[in-house]
Amino acid sequence: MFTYTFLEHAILASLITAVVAPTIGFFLVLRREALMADTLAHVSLAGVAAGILIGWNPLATALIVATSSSLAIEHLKTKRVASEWALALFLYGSLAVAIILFSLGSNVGSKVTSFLFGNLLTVTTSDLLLMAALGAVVMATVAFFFQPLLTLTFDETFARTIGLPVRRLTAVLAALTAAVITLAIPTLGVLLIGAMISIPVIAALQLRASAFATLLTAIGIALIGTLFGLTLSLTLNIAPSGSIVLTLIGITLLIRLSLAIKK
Amino acid sequence: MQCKSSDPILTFQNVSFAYDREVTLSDVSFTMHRGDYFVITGENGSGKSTITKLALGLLTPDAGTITFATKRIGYVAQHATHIDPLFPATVHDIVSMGVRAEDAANREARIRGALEHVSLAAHIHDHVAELSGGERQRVMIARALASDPEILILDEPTVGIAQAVRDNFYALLHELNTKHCVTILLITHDNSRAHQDATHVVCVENGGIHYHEDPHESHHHAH
Repeated sequence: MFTYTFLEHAILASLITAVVAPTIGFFLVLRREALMADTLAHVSLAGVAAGILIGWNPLATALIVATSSSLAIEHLKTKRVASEWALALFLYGSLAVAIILFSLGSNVGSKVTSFLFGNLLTVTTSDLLLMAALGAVVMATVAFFFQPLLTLTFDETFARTIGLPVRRLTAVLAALTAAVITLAIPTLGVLLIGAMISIPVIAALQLRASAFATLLTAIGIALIGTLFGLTLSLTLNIAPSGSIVLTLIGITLLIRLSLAIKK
Repeated sequence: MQCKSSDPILTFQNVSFAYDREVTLSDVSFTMHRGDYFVITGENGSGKSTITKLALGLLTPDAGTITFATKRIGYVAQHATHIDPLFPATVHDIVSMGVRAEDAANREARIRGALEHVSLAAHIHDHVAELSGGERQRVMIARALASDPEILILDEPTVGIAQAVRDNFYALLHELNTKHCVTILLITHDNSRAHQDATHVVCVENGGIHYHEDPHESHHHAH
C-alpha cells in the first residue's frame, strides 16, 4: 500500500511538471530568457530553507520568495538595469541567504540534497495538491493569454503598438515562471528544473511547426521523456531527475539525427 | 473611389524630442489628412525614425502634441524581414498577432482578408522560415492590415529587398492607398519609386523639416 501511494505520487508529480514546465519554457526559450528559470530555481532554495526553519511547507515559502523575486527582477529591468545584472544579483544573493539559513537549523542542512536534486519519494499529499493547483492556474492563464503572450514574445515593439499591456503581460509571465519552478522542485530539484523548462522546447523547435503545434509537441516530448526516465530510474535504481533529463536530451538528439538523415 | 478628405488623421504640432539631451527633433509640425500618402525621407540619423516612434507612442515628446484621430493604426517595423528562423510560426500565426482583441470573433476572416490583400492566401500554413524576403515583408504588411488600419505606418520597409520586389511592394502600397483608402506614412531613404505615388514628401534634416511638398504640384520648399 505504501509503495503504491509513493509511486502514484511520484508519477503524478512528474506528469504535472512535464505538462507545465515546457508550457512556460516555450515563452522563456523564445524570449532568450531561459536563465530566468535557473535564477528563480536558486532563489526558491532560499524559500525552501526558510520554510524548513519556520516549520511551514517549504514549497509554499518557495512560491512566495520566487514570485516576489520574479516581480522584483522584472521591475529592475524596467529601471534600465541590464537583465544579466538583475539575474546575477538575485541568483547569488538568494544562494547566499539559503546557505546561511541552512547553517542555522540543525535539521535543515540534512534535507538540502532532496531539494537540490529532487526526491520523488518525499512528495506528500499536500505537496501534490499544491502542485496540481499551481499547475491548473498556470495552464488556465496561458490558455487565456496565449495569443497576446505569443505576440509579446515575437515582437515586443509591435505588441506595444497594438495596445497590449506589455509590462503587465511580462509580470504575468514572471509570476507563472515562479509558480512552475516551485511545483517542479520535488520532481527535478533546483539544479535540474531549467532542463525540463528548456530542453523539450528546444527539441520541438527543430520540427519547424506552428506555434501551437510546437507547444503541444514540447509537452508530448516532456511526457514521453518523463515516463521513460521514471521507468529507467525504477529499473536501474538510479536518480529519477537525472534519468528524466538524460532521456530528454536523448530525444532531442534523436530528432536532430532523424532530420539530418531525412535531408 | 474618392479616398482623400480634409479630415486630419495625424497631427504633429511643434514636437521636439531629445535622446539623452541630444536634440533629435526640434519643433516639427505637419498634418496628415485621411487618404494622404506621406513619404518621410532624410539621411540616417536625421530623426525620421524618431517620428515613427513618437507617432506610435513608443517615445513621449519633450514638447508639443501628437494627435491621432483614429485608434486603428497599422505598423510595419524596420527590418521586418529579419524574422528569427527558429521562431515557431506559420504565416497564419504571424498575421493573427495583428488582429485586435475586439475583433477576435472575426479572427479567421481578418487573417484571410489581410493575406488576400498581399496575395499570400495560398501560403497561410507555411512556416515563415520557408518564405523569401519579399514574401516575409508581405506577411508583415498583412499583420498590420489584420488590424483593419485606417493609417499604415511603415519604417524603412524596403531595406534588404531586391529592386523588382520593391516595385511590387510600392504597387501594393499605392493600391491600398487609392483603392482601399488606407492613409500611408512611409519612412524611407529609397527615393526613386516612393515619391511617384506619394501625395506629400517630407524631408527631415538635422531634426527639423527641411521641406514639405506635394510632388505633383510645383516645388514649394519651406525652409
